[in-house]
Amino acid sequence: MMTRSDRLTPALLTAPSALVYAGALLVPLAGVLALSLHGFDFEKGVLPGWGLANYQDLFTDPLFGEALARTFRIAGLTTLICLLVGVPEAWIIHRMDPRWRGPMLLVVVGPLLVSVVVRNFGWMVLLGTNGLVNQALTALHVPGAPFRLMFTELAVVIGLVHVMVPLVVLSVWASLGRLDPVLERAATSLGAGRFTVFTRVVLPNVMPGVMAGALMVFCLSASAFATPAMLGGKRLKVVSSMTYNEFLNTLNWPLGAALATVLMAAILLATLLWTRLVERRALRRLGEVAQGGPA
Amino acid sequence: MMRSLLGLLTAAAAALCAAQASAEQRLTVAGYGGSYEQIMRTSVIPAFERENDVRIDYLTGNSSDNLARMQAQRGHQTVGVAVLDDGPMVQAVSLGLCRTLPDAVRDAVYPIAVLGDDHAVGTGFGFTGIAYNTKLFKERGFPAPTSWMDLAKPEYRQRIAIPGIDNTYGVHTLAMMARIHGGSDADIAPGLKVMRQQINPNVLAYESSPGKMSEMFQSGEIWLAVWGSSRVAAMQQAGFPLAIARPKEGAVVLMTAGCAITDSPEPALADKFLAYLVSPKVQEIFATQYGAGPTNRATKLPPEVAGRVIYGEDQVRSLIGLDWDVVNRNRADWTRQWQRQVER
Repeated sequence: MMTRSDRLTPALLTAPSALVYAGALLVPLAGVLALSLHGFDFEKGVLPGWGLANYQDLFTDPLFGEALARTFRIAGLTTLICLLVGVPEAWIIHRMDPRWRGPMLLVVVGPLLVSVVVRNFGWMVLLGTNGLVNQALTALHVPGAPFRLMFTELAVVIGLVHVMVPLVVLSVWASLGRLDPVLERAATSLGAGRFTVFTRVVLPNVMPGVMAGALMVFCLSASAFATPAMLGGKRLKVVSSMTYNEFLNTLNWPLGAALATVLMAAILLATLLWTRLVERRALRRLGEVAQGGPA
Repeated sequence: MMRSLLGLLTAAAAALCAAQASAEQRLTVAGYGGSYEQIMRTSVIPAFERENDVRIDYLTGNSSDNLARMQAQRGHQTVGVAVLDDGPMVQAVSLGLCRTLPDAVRDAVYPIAVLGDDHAVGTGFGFTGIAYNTKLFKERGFPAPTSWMDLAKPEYRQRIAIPGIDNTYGVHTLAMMARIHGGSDADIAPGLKVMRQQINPNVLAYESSPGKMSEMFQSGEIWLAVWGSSRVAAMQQAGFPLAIARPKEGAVVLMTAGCAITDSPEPALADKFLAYLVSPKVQEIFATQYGAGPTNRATKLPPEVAGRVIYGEDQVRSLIGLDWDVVNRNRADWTRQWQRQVER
């Protein structure tokens, strides 16, 4: 029999964090949403009227469409590369001698410890026409070198992958920790090769970690601002850099708020689709494996 | 005994706090980063703090960032004095962010340095021209740039950087391209067309940040750029082989301008700091270290400094000035078209 205080306890315990979320996240978000419905005039500033004119502007503007497509192209490509690099990396570190695991994890997390500006300046020095990468390519007589690397989408993807890989590694690492080592040995004893063990036993079991890592990388890359601005330059506009421009340069805050709202909605939609179509299916498959069903 | 000691300590602490509070009159000054901030922090601010027994907080940001910040804090300003480029400053005045200048400040400077109907004062003259790497130009046998249209020369393909339209140098570039091709500040279309068809293929990047600009010069990534005389002076002081050309169609005057902000705390102190910024002493510091021409008529410069800066009204008149009222009114439209037609 639950007493009154039993029922109240969970609510009371979650109240502080709920309040923080409401105050620091929901209220400002509602403010941004409300701001996006106002008009703007250069001399009068933000206008008091309400309307959807900003959204209409955005959806009929090819420049915005281009930026939105670029944002998602960069985020998608970054996620893909991070998975291809991060998942095997976590597996390799997991199989290392325990003495080496700590230092190796530290190396992997390294990029997260460096300020984003410093990291991007480093890439600028490396990727420039006279930078180290091009000097190496020229010395190796690669035809066509030096290449133009800076101010391309490739540079942005490289910069983002550099900092996002640790997120995949860490989240897969956490899943690997829960993996029962007996499973691998059982698979080997039944004649599975190393590759088969990895793809048919390990990978399905760490799928939750892979999915979570992918989602984090995608969301953070789609909303990244500093790296596209520094390595991509002004020509390669992404939605976050357009938002920055509207807020700080043209001072058209309502349009900036509309941009921010659309970006958030788009990321939310992509996230929902991802959980619906990919994650749930993958987890269901995992469930079947665990229950001895067809793998 | 213990209690009395505690009481004594408390009293001492309270007295200390009170003394601190009265001594610590504080003023926030918003201004540019980079070499400007360096000079402010080392040569300008400490003397003012000592003389007036106050503390100055320096808030770094480029003109549009600081303008946006003050617009956001309207009604409860924390910034007391702001230093912005002349264009954004005229905009700040029209947004009602600036108080009227004290008479003494207004009368100390050349009339051309009084902006926005006596609400803001020019603190230094500079100009926008074409900055180029003299060492590289010599090695490759290129003549020094003489015209704005040199930016269209095919040998500079992908070796030019131009600040974006969010930046005063970028606005100057577009305005000059329009002027020399039959347009004006009110008719920018010819400028956009030339930028799109002739200049854009040569441009490696549109870059507003002075930090990235100097990095690109230093790595040899770019050979020339549209930039300001003061930025070039800072690079020269650091020993980099950079020079600035005044194109024959005219270099564009660029003033750094200051104003005291409406509804900010410590208005008297703000006026005092503004007067200090245009005092001959500080004007000489900025002329020597920043390459800024003095706006205060009484400033006397040593000849070696005078030769390097815009000095005196005649020299100022030889530069081209934009009609900021017209430009600011159309700036949102310029930005829109620039982003769609040029910066692609």
